[in-house]
Amino acid sequence: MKTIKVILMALIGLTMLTLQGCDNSGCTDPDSLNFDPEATEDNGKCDFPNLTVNFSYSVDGQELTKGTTYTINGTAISFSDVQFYVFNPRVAKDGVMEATGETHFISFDNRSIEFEDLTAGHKHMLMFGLGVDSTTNATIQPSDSDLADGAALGPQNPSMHWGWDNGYIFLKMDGMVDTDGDNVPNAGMEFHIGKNINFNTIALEIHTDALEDEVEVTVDVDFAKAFTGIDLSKDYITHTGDFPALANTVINNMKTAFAKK
Amino acid sequence: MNRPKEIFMMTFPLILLLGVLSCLYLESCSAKKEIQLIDSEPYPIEIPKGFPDIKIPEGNELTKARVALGKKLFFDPILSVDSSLSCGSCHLQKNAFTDLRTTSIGVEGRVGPRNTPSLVNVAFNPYFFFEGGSPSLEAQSLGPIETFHEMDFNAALLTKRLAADEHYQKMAQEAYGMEMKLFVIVSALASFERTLISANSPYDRAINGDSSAMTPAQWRGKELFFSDHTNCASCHPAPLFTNFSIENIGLEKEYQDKGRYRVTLKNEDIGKFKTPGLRNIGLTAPYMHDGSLESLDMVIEHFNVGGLGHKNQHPLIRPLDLSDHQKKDLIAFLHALTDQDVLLKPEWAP
Repeated sequence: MKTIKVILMALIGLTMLTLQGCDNSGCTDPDSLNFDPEATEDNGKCDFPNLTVNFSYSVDGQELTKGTTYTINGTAISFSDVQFYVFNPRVAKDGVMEATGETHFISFDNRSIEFEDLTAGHKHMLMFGLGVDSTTNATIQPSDSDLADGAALGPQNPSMHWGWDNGYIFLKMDGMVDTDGDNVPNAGMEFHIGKNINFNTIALEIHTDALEDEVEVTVDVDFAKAFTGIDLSKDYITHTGDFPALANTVINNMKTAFAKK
Repeated sequence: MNRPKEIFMMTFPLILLLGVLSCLYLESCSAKKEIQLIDSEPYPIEIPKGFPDIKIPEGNELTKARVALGKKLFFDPILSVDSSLSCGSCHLQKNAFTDLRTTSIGVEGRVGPRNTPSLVNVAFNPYFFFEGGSPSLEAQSLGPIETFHEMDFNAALLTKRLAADEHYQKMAQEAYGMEMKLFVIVSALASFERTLISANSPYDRAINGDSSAMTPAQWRGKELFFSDHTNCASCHPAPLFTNFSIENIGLEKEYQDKGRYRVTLKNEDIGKFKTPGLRNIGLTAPYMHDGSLESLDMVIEHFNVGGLGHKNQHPLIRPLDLSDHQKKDLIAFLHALTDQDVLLKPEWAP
């Protein structure tokens, strides 16, 4: 009896060892952070990197803060609000785009967007729409009942939607400019830029390796570049419809304002 | 043997107590739920004979609770940044929901660029504001609330302000079955405004068989109004006396306020403004988008001379060569479009 028991135990032990030896499960996704080339069976535990893009505000190399006076094109200027929409940001890896599929609201208080579960590897480009696309502009209102509380396209303060017109403000820069030459901002500045014709794609090289769980990239936005070629002591108000040429110049200038820090 | 019985006897009152408490709790929950039920009693609205149907967005069907909430909001200065002005401050019932000013005056006495339009029959408008940029009554309501020279408030802050008010929260639950949010605010305001329907003018009574409702001068004016001589009815057809087209009528040679252009950015839209309905026009002076024509005499004279000749001017605006009698008859007819009920309906009063 005792011998039989020993033999049985040994057999069971051997079987278990054999089975364990055959366990080739692991992460089989080559785009994951923990890809196991030996694994033949996926264990459902693949890890992918998250990428956070932080937008830093600057004016010609100086950090942009509320109320500080800067000089742009020879005119003293201060900002009270600087905010814009980032539409469907995507990063490119080997020509393949990965997108958040969302619209993000960027302001002084909220300056980051997050890509979740990207493929691991080198991210060459960051691309996004500055503003919202024409479909969103035509079909979504901040008052829509199905927008979640705090949604980017919901009500913002200051407002990012024109009540009198059907559309979002893509880029809003409010503040003061100096119009009398004493280097003290004295007149209200309002750049409220929207309309479908002003919806541009921003593309910049970020060259970032997403090879960890959490990766961060900082993108500098130099708002001095927005005013290239503009005499701010004279042209400092546009709500797009009342001065479309000025709005168009600024929004096109913004293509050069974004750069990886 | 008696042990289980003892246990049962000891625990039975406890179980009974728990049961009673549960029932009470459930009842209190259902009572709470009752408050959250939507009061869906429809608001009775009668579309006047010959008028088009009203387009109401899904989810904002007219109910008494929604109209009541909208009316409360409409007359509540809580909507403006400093709680000084309500919608009703510029849209006064005694003036057919206008303010008789050249242009509107907002918070801190800020003078706006536009004349306050009447809200009577606004339910039939396909788009809103003089440039026709807003697609619904719901969407347009944020315009005055957020405009600097009107209420100068902010939708997000207004929602927070109203959400902090218990009474408004209760009304929001009753009307829409949800907490106070921007959707509730704009929907309720639109609901109240949709009830402002007027069709009991001498003209309405006259065309429905009471020929004595209009004076002979008004009848003559009516003939002229609908004639190919004036072509007034081409843009101002009955029953609403507007086709809602957005036109340049040659009011200025150079438009500071570029009207429709602000929406389309097309040069051919410079100086184009939405054709207003003419019902109650005798009550809503001054006229035009900027209130620049003080009286109906000035309006008729503007069309009689054929406008100032802007490049985008509508081709039907051309010299009419009307006699003084004809002008007076036309003005008499325009007064026949006044519905005195507009000024008196208690359900429209603050």
